Amino acid sequence: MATFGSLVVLRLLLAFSPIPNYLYDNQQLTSPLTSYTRLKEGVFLLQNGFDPYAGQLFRHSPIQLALFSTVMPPNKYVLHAFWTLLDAATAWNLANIWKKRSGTTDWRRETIIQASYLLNPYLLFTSLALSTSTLDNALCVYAISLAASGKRAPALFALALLTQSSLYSVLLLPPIVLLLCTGPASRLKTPIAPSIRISDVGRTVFTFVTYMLVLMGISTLVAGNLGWMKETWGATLTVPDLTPNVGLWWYFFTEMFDHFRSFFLMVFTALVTIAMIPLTIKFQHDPLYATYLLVGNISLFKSYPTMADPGLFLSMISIFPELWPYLRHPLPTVMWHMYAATLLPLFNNLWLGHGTGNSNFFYAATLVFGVANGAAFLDSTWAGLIAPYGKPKQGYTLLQI
Amino acid sequence: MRWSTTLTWLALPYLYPNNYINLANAQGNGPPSGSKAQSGQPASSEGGPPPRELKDVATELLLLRPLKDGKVATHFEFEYLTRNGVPRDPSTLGSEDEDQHYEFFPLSMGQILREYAVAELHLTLNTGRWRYDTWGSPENPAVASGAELWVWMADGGPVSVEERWKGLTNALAGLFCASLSSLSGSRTTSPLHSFYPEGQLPLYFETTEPENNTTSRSGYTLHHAVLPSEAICTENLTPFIKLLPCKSYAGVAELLNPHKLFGGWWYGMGVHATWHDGETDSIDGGTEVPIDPSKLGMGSKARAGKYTEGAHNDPKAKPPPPQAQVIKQARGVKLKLTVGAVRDPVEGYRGQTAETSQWTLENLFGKNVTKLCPVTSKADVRVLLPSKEHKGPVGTDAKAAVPSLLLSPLPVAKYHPHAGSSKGDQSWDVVRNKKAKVANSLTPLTLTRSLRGYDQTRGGFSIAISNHLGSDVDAWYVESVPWIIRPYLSTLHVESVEPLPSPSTSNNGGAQQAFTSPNNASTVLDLKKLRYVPPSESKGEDSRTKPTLLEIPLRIPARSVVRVSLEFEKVFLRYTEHPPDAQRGWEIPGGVLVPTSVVPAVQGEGTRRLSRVYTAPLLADLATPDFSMPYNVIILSGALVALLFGMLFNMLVRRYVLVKS
Repeated sequence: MATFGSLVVLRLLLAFSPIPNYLYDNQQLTSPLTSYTRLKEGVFLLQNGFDPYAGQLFRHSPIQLALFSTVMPPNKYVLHAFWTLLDAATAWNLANIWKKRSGTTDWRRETIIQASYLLNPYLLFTSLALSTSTLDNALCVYAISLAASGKRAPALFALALLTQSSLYSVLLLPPIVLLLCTGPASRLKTPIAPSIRISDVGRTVFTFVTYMLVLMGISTLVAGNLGWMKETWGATLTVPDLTPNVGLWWYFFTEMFDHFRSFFLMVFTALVTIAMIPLTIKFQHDPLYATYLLVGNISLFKSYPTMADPGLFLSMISIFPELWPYLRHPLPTVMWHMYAATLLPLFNNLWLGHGTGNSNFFYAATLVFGVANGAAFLDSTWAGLIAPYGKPKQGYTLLQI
Repeated sequence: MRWSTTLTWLALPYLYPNNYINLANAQGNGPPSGSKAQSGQPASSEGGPPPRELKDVATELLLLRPLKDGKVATHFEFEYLTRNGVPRDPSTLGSEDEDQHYEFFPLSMGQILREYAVAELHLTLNTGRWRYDTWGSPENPAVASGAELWVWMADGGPVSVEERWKGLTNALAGLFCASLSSLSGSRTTSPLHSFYPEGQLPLYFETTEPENNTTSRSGYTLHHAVLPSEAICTENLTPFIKLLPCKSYAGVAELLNPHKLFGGWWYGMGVHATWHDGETDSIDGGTEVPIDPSKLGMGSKARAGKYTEGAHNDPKAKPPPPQAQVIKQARGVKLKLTVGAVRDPVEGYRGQTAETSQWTLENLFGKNVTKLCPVTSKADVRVLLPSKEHKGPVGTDAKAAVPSLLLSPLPVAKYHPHAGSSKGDQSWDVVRNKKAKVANSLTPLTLTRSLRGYDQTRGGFSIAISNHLGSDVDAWYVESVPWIIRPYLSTLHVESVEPLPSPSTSNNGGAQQAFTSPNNASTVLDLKKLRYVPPSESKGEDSRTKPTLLEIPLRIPARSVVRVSLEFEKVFLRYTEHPPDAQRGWEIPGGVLVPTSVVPAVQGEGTRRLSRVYTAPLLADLATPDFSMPYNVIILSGALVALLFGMLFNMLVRRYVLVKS
């Protein structure tokens, strides 16, 4: 508890230091969909009677627009305090997920989980940049935490709210529905799926759809028309803004031939969405782990990622300590991440700041980052799949047939 | 600083300083008479052959203004009026148009104007930056760098305004051999508050408003587009000359020598079509009407008309004095063709220094006027002389004194280049004496805009607007932001209001004290009236490539500088959207300051509107992708994606077994 408190205080100190001034427009930490500068602009436009969704600049969800134009003014200091508070709550919720999963309490383990979230540099700097990715992460962890606690309606509402700002999060629905129907306990080593009632699933999905429709209605009311859908969800799917980020989409679609653009947009969207089905089926015995893997898959392939998306995935591994022994190559993964985390800001600045490098520098760094994220994601999948077999005994080897 | 007034102006072989000789019927029958000129009486009203009843009226004018830095501003103006003509009602666009018959009015322009039912048109093609600080106000305020086209068209009718605009730009592009057809949706904006018609707009439709309240422009759409990189050259001038009735064979058009014009420090041409609903049928060719001399010095476009704005006195209400009389516009469609150039008379004459320089028409243009164009009813050459009283903006306590000093008219020497026809083949020229010094001409408003930011992701505009007048000026600052940059409206700030440094000629500290509200920046910008038009969808065109229009209302306090700043983000383009010379950067068209305030006209009679001021275009440096990389990127990204997906697929679909090794 004292550690948690001191970590939060440390985060607050950092938030009120001059560091954030250099981060607000950092392309690794913010994307066109999560940038604080654009959020300010949108709120300003709304408050002065202009349509914020008309200028191709503002792409936050109308719910966030409503929040920051009424309850919480986009004042830097208020937001920094709020962002730190969100991170603290998210760290707390992560520890809560582990408690529900293990059914025990262990303050040391909880502190490790909390520290893994609060000290993760990807998450720390994104939070200091006031990127709304932090908000999305908080909602995502909160939704999973509520689902792990079996609170059906709040969990689904949190997920629906998250979907308003981050469209791909709707992919988390199937594992979360399973999680609500079966519980969070670890069954990775005994992969027998508990039976679930179809009517239960139907009811849960119906609740989610209802919440979605209500929130979409509210969004339309806030925005005044349906134009927000094209600017927020539409941007996620069609990538109109090619501002560099750490993902795989932006340079691909910068260099894409015009007549192939729509085809490859479909391919990339399919790439994000398709993994949902096999992962949910394969890990139906442990839907919490399926949720975790899907978070990793989305962060790897989403169209406008920030550092916070893989950061959440990396921190979440701390709630599955039973799998750590089965990871094949944790050290190379860490090295790749360090390599990418060094290269990304460096090459971004060389290209756009100093002008001594060109776009290929930063593109190469994003490819390395993709390799690092992919390694972490694949290693986690592997560990989850081979856990039932235990550590191979002397004279036995594990083969795929 | 005092300006020398020992000036000698020579006109060879005839010297007519401060005279004005008008030859209304320029068939060469009436030789100029000194007594007539001295008396200042209208020359055409007496003597000469009986005036022919012509439908069209053609006049021409050459204005020469020596500049502070030794250069000479030259301005040609050819006006063609088709009497009682009215712009076409757009509701008749579906049916056959009435027959067009013009005498001097260029048919090709008339056809274009009627085909697209254009009420008012302004097209200028300029090269270079007009230096307001050293050259003063231009003769014609339209000095935007590159091509600028703005058109008033009435709504309604079977053809939409958008389609007519598209057709019009293509027609003008064909007529003037300019790349105007690229003035597409990505460059076109519709300012609402700032630009105002220079003529009048006919009312084709019933309005609920009272008859006399005609200041509204309802029913009309303004399309405004700027192409900053379009330069004017011979291929534009040749079709321009073809519009003149005498081509370049006679009249002041003889001086239109592309070799000389396009060697200038600034040059441009303009086509302005306006409509005037004159009270009388008389025209200024038939009865002599003095021209407001301040118009020549300041380039004011404010004339009596139904659509002039501002709470000023109706100029028709009281008889204007002869010096500051406003031109009575005849009813009809008027086409004004202008060519302007700033020439350095020393250029190309080695061995001559600026001190010994004297210029003549011959060395300015390499040609001379040998004969008059017979169809013109009036042809003038005017030279602006330095004023004796001109003292520059002396700091003075009397606020009202400052504008009158600044705007005081310079004396004009008027010549009539009609010599050849009456005196055989004797040449005629205007010569500037070597000792002539030139008054410091100042503009009431100056404007600079610069680009901030060093990286390729973000940047900002810094705009400084100086008001040299002794009274506050209300103005619209218009910024048509191209789609490659997106302004953050929340960053629009009036940063500071500073008093202008007091001029060195100030004999007391009055200028400093005259400034009363030093840090009143918040009252300068009225956000409620600000007009922000973000790029919007229109059928068939992606809003991605639409410009953003900003019309910023500003109140510039007297004798002070207002600094406005606006930040923007640079858009990352697809590699196919970059121009072939992508590293050069993208042109951002100049900003325009359109004052709405009126200032007292010359000698305190009536009011006039200040003319608009342009900034130079800017180059925005955008980040470029590697243009040789499309295949490599597809291969590399594809390989990574295939690797990750393949490994995941492999893990998920195959079974695991433990085997004894």
